[in-house]
Amino acid sequence: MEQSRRNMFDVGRWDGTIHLKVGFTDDGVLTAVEGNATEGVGQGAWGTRLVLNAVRMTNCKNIKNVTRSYYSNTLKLSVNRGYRWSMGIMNTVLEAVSAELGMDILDVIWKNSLTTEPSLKALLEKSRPLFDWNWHPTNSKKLLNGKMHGISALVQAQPRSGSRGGHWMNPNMCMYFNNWTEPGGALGDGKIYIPFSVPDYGLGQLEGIAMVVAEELGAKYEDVIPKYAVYDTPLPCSPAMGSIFSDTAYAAKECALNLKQYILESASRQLSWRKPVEIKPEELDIEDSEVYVKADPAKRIAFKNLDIYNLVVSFSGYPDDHGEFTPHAHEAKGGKYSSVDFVYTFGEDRNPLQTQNIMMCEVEVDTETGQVEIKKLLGVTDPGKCIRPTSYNNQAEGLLDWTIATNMYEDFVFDKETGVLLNCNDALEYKIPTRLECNMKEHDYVETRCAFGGYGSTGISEFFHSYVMVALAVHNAIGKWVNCPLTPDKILAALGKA
Amino acid sequence: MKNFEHIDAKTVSEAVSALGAKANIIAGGTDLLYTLKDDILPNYPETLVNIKTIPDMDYIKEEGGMLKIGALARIADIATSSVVQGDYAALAEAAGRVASPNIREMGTIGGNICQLARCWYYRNPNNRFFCFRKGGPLCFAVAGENRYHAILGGAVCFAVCPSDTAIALTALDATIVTNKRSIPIGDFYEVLGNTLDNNEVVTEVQVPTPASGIKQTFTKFALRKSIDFAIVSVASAITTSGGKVSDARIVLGAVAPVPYRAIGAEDAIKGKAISESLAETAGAAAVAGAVPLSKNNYKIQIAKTLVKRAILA
Repeated sequence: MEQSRRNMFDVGRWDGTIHLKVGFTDDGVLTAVEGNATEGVGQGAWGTRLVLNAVRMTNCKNIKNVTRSYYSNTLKLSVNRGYRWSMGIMNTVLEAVSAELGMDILDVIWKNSLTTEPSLKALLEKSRPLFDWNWHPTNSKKLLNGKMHGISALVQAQPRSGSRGGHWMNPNMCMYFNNWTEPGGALGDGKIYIPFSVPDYGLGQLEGIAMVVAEELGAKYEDVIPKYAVYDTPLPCSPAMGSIFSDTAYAAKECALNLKQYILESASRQLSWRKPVEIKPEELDIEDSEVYVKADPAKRIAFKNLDIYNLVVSFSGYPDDHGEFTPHAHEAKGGKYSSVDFVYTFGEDRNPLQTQNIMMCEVEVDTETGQVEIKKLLGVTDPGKCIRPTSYNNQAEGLLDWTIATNMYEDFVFDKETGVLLNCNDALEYKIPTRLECNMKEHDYVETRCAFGGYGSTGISEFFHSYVMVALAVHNAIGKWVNCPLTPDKILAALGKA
Repeated sequence: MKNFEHIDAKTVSEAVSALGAKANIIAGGTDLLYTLKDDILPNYPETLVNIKTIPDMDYIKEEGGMLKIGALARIADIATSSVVQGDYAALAEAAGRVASPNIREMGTIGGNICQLARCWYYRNPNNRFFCFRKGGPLCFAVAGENRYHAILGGAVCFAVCPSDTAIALTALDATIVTNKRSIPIGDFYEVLGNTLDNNEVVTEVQVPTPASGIKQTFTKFALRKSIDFAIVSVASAITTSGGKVSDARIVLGAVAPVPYRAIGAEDAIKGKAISESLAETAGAAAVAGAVPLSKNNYKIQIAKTLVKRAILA
């Protein structure tokens, strides 16, 4: 199999070829995998991580991989997003086993997966009826329209923050209460300000943070205001965003709970002032940005009337080997600022497979013209807990579009004589799907809450995208391995018609 | 983009008088502006003569036993015209498959049939490949990337005619009317473009009203359902009488530098009753003279199939 397209939307291009030898038992259990890879890496790369991710994905430990890299000047930098690519390789291995044995690919996936419960089990229960899964052996189903029918499925783990083994960034969060230190900021307005110093990436995480804080604190959603920090804002947060959002949500929760405790203590003092009986903090609670006495809900103090000024609350924690977040010692209260540092770790020795995702694809292949038409593309993932569904939908839609793009269209074409890139001058020649090519996709999620991020969540990140999904379905349809993009010249060549 | 003078012509003769070796016509501008921004033309125009300002040149009407389409008629209007959809269905279908909706709203029929080749070498920004089409010594595609190039009729240049409407118009035996003459569409194209003189402007496209009972098709095979240019297209106009084919015009697009009349396929079915095996024979005959380049022999299989399916449609 070969990869020759833009794997990273913002970095560069990676070329690779890997030849695989696969050993397996008669009942579909992998016994050995050997990979020989060659990859063009531009001016630096991570290498093809077949071994690492194969070990992570399957029970098979007898795996050998040799990767030979070569450097080139065809791009500035190349980064192989090793997880997905090598998961693509492993799913190709599983498809090969399925085809060879005539065994339903979902059975092969189940038999070989390192972790089946709860995530994989829940995903299969959801996705089978949603897709109307009905597997058939390779090259065996010809439709009335004369086309060959193919389906396939793959499973990918989500080794992201919140599920151990992926990128870790210690989450941190900071909130200003009743006060905003920027010029023009209101004093005593009863609102919670969260200064951010990173972009939102268009995925709405800031709103997600505000939702978490409002719910945990008991504040009105509109009273929680994420703001981009100006250069002199003390203690701005650089929270883990994007796919590592779940850790930030965890930090937001912890920070909100710290703030809540401080508010209740303050309200306790205020309500007890010159009163014969002290009202203790545990006798209070918060709703709609007002502190109230549980035994007498009519007794209330609005946030803006609390005797709290210049309060800053922060949280910063390290994840440990058990997925627990240990708060930093420099938790700040009452206007004390402290620096927040970051830790990046890459836990290659850890098991990331707490949450996974399933993708299923149905294609029709016109063997007379080589045209591949995707009829159905389903992605069901397990984000652990979906904190902000609209953000999830946004990510899922984009990743399925990306899957269609890389499987069907995206390609760099160079003139071999001169090395000049020929087809990337515009969106006409560098092909990505239009809406008409993306109208068959569906997605959904399950919530097993088994990941290590806040609320048992994790990020779905880019792991809802696959470089090989459609190619596997084409293999099921015509019994031929075709390199992506699945253009008619390659399909016809594979069929011996060109 | 470089500076250029922009002239709004009020009449065709005014437009013609402003033309010359260093002037270009602009109407919808969907192709020309692209070439200017990327600086791909061998001679950058000093003047653009805007003909959109010429009144009453965007008509679509039946008159005198033919369909007359003004050169400024927009592609979208042709695609949705009830007149065109009625008796000239292949043209309506072809117009509906041109580019994308927003380009169809801008582009004109005159521009569509006169558009420049889409070859990667010809279109490479900043005139990087001085190819034969630009006056250079060779066609770079022959030894280079030629997956979308000609399998039929290529000579010094192997770029294909990119126009969808031209394929349908050829099947419908159209005539291109200019300020100087009327040109049968079969004589309008040549390997390096079209036969227009420097001081010649397309003013109208005429399509004879097809005989009753004629069956028309247009099929475009492209990677995507929108935007893309054809890998192969086919337009057909087949008349049957008494259960046998009495006349046929079958035209292949994107396989040759010009719209390619598949005479072999036409001859194969004339006087015969259509059947699966006859259509297959005709499909093979359509590409009998094909000489593929290193990376485009797959087009032969697609062209054969499309011709077969057009006949059986």
